[in-house]
Amino acid sequence: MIEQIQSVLTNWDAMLPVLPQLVVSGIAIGMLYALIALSMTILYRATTVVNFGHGDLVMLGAYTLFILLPMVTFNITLESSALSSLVSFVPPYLVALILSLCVLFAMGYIIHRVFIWPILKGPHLSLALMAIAIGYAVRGVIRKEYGKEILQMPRPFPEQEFEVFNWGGIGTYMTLDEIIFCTVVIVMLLISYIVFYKTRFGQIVQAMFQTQRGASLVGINVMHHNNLIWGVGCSLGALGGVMIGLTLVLDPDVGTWTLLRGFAAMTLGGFGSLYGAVIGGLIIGILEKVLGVFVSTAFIEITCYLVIVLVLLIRPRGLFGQHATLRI
Amino acid sequence: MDSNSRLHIADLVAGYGHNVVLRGVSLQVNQGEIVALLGANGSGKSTVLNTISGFLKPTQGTVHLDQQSITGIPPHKTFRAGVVQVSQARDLFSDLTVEENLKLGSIIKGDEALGLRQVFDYFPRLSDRYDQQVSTMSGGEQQMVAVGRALMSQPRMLLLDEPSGGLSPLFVKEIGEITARMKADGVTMLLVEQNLRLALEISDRYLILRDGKVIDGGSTDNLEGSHDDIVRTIYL
Ligand SMILES: Nc1ncnc2c1ncn2[C@@H]1O[C@H](COP(=O)(O)OP(=O)(O)OP(=O)(O)O)[C@@H](O)[C@H]1O
Ligand SMILES: [Mg+2]
Repeated sequence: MIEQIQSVLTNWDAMLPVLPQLVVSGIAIGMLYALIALSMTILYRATTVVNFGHGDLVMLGAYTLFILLPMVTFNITLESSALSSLVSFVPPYLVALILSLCVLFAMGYIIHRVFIWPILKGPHLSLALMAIAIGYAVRGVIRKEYGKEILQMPRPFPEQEFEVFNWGGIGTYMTLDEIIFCTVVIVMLLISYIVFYKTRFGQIVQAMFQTQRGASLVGINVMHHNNLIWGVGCSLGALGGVMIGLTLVLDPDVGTWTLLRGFAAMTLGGFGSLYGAVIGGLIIGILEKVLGVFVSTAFIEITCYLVIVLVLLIRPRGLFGQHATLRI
Repeated sequence: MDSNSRLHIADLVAGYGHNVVLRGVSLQVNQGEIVALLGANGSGKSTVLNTISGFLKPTQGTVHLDQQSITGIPPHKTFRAGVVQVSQARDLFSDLTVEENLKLGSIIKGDEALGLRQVFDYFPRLSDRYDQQVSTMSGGEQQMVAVGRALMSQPRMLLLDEPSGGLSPLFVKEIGEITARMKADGVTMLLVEQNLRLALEISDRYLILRDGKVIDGGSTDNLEGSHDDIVRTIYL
C-alpha cells in the first residue's frame, strides 16, 4: 500500500495531503507498540528486568488464542446475515481471548516464580540471558508445532474501512481493526493508570521499583507481587499479541519484530516510565509510517533500531526516564 | 525464656553460602528494653539483624518474638509479627517524598494517622519536609525518615542498624535523644552501634559479638571507667 502511495507521489505538494493518513495509521500501529512497551515496562518496574523474551510471550498469546478458538466455538450454523455471524463468532472469540490472557497470566507468574526470582539478586546479565533463553524456548516450541506455516489469525469481525476526514479530496481512512484496537489500548491504558497510580497495589509496585529490600522492610511480600506483575505483564502483552496477529500474520518470528518495537518505545520513553512507554510507542509508530513514505520504505523496518541507537547515544534516560542507566 | 522476653534468640547459626558468619548466637531483649549489640566491622552484627528479619535463613537455632517462633520466616512475615528493621543502608524509597515513604511504612500494617502523629512528634523537622524527595535530603534527615518509616507500623521490636553511621555529632546527639524518648514510650530496641559512647548512653544492656558468638555483655549502669575494657573486648 505504501509503495502505491509512493509511486503516486511526485512532489511535496502532492505528498502533504497524505500526511494525516500516515499519522493516523502511525498512531494506530503505535498504539499496539505502546501496549507492548507498557507491558514490558510493568515487568521492568517490578523487577528491573528487561524481558528480552517478551516478544515471544506476546506471540504465544496470539497462538494460544489460535489454538483455543476452535475448542470454544459454538456449534451454531452460520448464516449469511451479519447479526448471526456476530452472535456466533464474537462470544467464542471473547471466551478464547480471555482464556488466552489467563494462560499467559499463569505463564508470566510461573516464569517469574521458577526462573527469575531465584536469580533476581544475581547479576543483571544472568537475568537478561534467562529472559532470552525463555523467549527462545517458547519460540522453539511454537516453531516445532507450526514450523513452516504462516498462519492467518481468524477474524472476530469483518474487514471494513471508514473515512475519518477528508482534506482537499484526499481522504484519511481507518480500518475497523484500527478503531477497535485503539479503543482497546486506550481502555487498557486507563485501567493501568488507575491501577498503578490510584490503588494500594500501585503504591506497592512503586515501592518495589525503588528498592525491593526497602519494600520487604515495610512488610511487602515482594516475591508474590513480582509473580503477579509478571502475570499481568504477560497477559497484557498477549492482548497486544492477538492484535498484532490480526494486523500482521501468525509467525514465530514476529516475536522479535514485536520485542524490538516495544524495546525501542521503552528506550525512547525512558525505562520504567509508564507514560513514556506509551508516548514512545506512538512516536515510533508515526515515525515508521512518515519516514517510510517520505524518505524510504527501509525506514519501516529500521526506525526502531535508529531510535534505540540515537536515544542511547544522545539521551540515555529517554524522554521521561528517571535513571540514566539501563540495567539489563 | 521468661515471660517478659520480647525477642529471644538461641544458638543461631547463619551465613552466606559456605561462609558461616554466626556460629551460635544467643541473646534476649526484654520488653521495653534497649540492648546494644557491639562488635568490630565484619563481626556479623548486620547479619544478626538480617537473620532476625528473615532476609537470611538460619541453618540452626531459633528466634522467638513474644514466645512465638519466627525462625526462618520471610521478611514480610516477621514484619507482620512486629519486627521492623532500620537497615544500615536505610533502603529508603529515594525517588518518593517523605510523605510517601512514611505512608508506605504503614501500608501493610499499622495505624497511619497514629504513626504520622508519633513520627512528627519525634521528628518535627519531617513535617516541614513532607513534600521533599528523599534523595535530596541530608544523611541525617534520611536517617530520620528511615526511623520514622519503621515507627509507622507501631513495631513491637525495632532493630536499628547503626543509626548514627556517617552522621555529624549534632545528629548523633539528636538520635540519642530520640531513642531515649522512644524508650520512654515503651519501644523495645536491639541497637547495633559503632559509636560506643552513644550506645552505652542510651541502652540498658550491651552485648559483644565476636567470632560469630556473643562473648560478653552486661548492664550499662556504672560503666564510666570501663569503656576501654569494652573496646579491648570488641577489637582485641
Ligand atoms: N551479602 C553478603 N554475601 C556474602 N557475605 C556477606 C554478605 N553480607 C555480609 N557478608 C559477610 O559477613 C560478615 C559479616 O558481615 P556483617 O555485615 O554482618 O558485619 P557487621 O558486623 O554488620 O559489619 P559493619 O560494622 O561493617 O556493618 C562479613 O565478613 C561480610 O563480608
Ligand atoms: Mg553492619
